[in-house]
Amino acid sequence: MNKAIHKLSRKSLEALIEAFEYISSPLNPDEVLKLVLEQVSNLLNAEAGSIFLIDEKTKNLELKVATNLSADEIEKIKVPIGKGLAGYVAEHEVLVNIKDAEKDNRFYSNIDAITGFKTKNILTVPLKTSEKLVGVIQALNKRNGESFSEEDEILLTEFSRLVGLTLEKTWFLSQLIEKQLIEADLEIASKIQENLLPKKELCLENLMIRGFYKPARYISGDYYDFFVLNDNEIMIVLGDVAGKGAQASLIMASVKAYLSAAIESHLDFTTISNNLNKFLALHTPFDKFITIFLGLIDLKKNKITYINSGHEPGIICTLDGKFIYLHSNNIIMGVIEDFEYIPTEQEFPGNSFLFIYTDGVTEANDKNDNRFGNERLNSIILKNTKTPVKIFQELPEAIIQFANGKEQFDDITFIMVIRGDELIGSKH
Amino acid sequence: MDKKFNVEELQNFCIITVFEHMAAAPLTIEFKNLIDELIQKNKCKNILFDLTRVEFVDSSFIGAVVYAYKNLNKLGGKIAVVVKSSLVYDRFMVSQLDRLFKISSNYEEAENYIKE
Repeated sequence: MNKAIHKLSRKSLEALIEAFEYISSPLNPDEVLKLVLEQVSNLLNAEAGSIFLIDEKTKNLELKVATNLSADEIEKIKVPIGKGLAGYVAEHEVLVNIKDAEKDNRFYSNIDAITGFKTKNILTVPLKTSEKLVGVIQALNKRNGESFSEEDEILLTEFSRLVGLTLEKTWFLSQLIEKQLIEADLEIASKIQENLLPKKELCLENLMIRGFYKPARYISGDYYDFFVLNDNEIMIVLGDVAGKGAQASLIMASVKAYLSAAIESHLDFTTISNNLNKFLALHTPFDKFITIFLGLIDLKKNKITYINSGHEPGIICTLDGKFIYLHSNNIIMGVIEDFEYIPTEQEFPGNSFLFIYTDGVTEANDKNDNRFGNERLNSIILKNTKTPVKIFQELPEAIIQFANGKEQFDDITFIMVIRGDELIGSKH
Repeated sequence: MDKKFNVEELQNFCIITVFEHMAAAPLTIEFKNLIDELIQKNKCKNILFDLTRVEFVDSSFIGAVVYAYKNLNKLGGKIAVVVKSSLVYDRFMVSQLDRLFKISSNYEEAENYIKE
C-alpha cells in the first residue's frame, strides 16, 4: 500500500472505502465507469469529471464518460497519447494538478467550447490495472472556489488505483461471460448440426449403412446422409465444405436441405447433382466449394452409379481384400454454375463393402506433422475385410493413437455401406 | 519475421510466390487479402501462383485460389498454378480444377499459358 494514503484524514479514508464499495458491485464495465464518475465528484467535491481509456488498436485516449456531455459528444473526443493534458498524463504516467487551466498550454479548451463548461482548475491522474496503464481520470473545478489540494491528489490517486483493479476484474468477468455465451450458442449449433445427420444406422435385408462423424470444433462443414428411394435404390452422400466453422456448417445445412427437397421431388440422380452444383455456385461465397461423393446404389443390379466431385476416392472392398477405387470423376461443386456432371457406373457386389471418407481421416496429424495417410487407413480396412463393422471402432482409435495428443485439426467423417449378412453379422 | 509471400508485377501478369510450407487456414486469410488487394487496385488480370515451396494445402487455401479464378475470370483474366510437391499436385488434380486453369509442375509451361 502506498505510504501517501496514511496522510489522508479519517473522513477521506471512509469516503474512499465507501466509494470503492459503490463502484465494485456492477458486472458491466460501462456501468462501473458511470459510477466512478459520480464518485470522483463526490470524493473531491468537484463540479465535473471525465474518464479516458486507451484504445489498444489506435493507441488514442478515448473519452468514455464525462459530466455534462452527451453520448454523441463523448464519442467524438479522441486524444493521441502525448497531446493535451490527458495525453501528457498518459505519456508520462504522472499526476498533474493545474491550479489555473487557462494558463497551462497542455489544457485542451475545445471541450469547454463544446459543453459551455468553464474549466478553472483540473486534477488528472493515470488509471492503471495491475499490468498496465489503461487511461486517465480527471476531476474539474473544486466546488469551494479553491483549487485541488494535496489531500485531493492522494485521494484521487488511491481511488484511481482501486478503479483500475475494479475495471480489471469487471473486464475479465465480462469476457468470461461473453465467452460462455458464445460457447453455449456453439453447443446448441453443434446439437442442431448433429440432428441434420442420420440419427441411426440404416439396416435393411443384407445391407447396413452407418456413418461416423467427429468435428474438429463444435460445428463443421462435413456432411453424410443416406436416402431410401425405393425397394431397390438407396442414395448415399458424403460431402466436405472448404474451410471450417460456422460458414462451412451453414453451407453443409443448405446441402442437406437442398438434397432432401430434391429427393422428395423425385428428380433423377444426375439432375440432382447438376442442380446442387448450380445452387452452390449461385449461393455461396467465391472462396467456398464442396467436395462431395454422391452414390446411387442399385441393390438389384449390384451396382453403384456415382459422382465424385473432387472428393477422396471411395473404396469398395471385396471379401478377398480386393480394393476397387471410385476416383474423382467430376470437378468440385460450387465453382462452375452450368457444369454438366457425368456419373460413372461401377459393380458393387454382395458380400463387399463401400468405404467413403473425408480428408480429415488421412490428414490427421501427429505432433511432428506426420500424416495418418492412406497406408494406415488401407491396412485397417484390409484387416477387416470380413469384419467391416469393427472399422467404426478401430479407425477412430488408430487415429487417436497416431495423433498422440495432437489436437484434431480437421473434421473426421466416414460412411460405410456393408452388403451381405455375413459381413453385417461381424458386429455381433 | 520471415516473408510469407512475394508479389512480382510484370507487364501482363503478376507472380505471387508463397514461401510457407504449410498453406492452410491461418495463411489463407492473408493470401486472400493479397489477392483482393491486387484485384481491387487493378494491378493485374492474370496471376501465376508459384507454390513450388508449398508442401501441403488445405481446402481453405484451394478455396482462395478458386476465389482468384472466379474474380479474374469475370474480368477476362486467368490464373495458373505451379507446384512441386506431389501431395499438393494430387490435391489440385483430384479437385479437377485443371479443367478451369493451368496446374503444372513445370514453371515455363505455366508461364507460357498465362502469357498466351
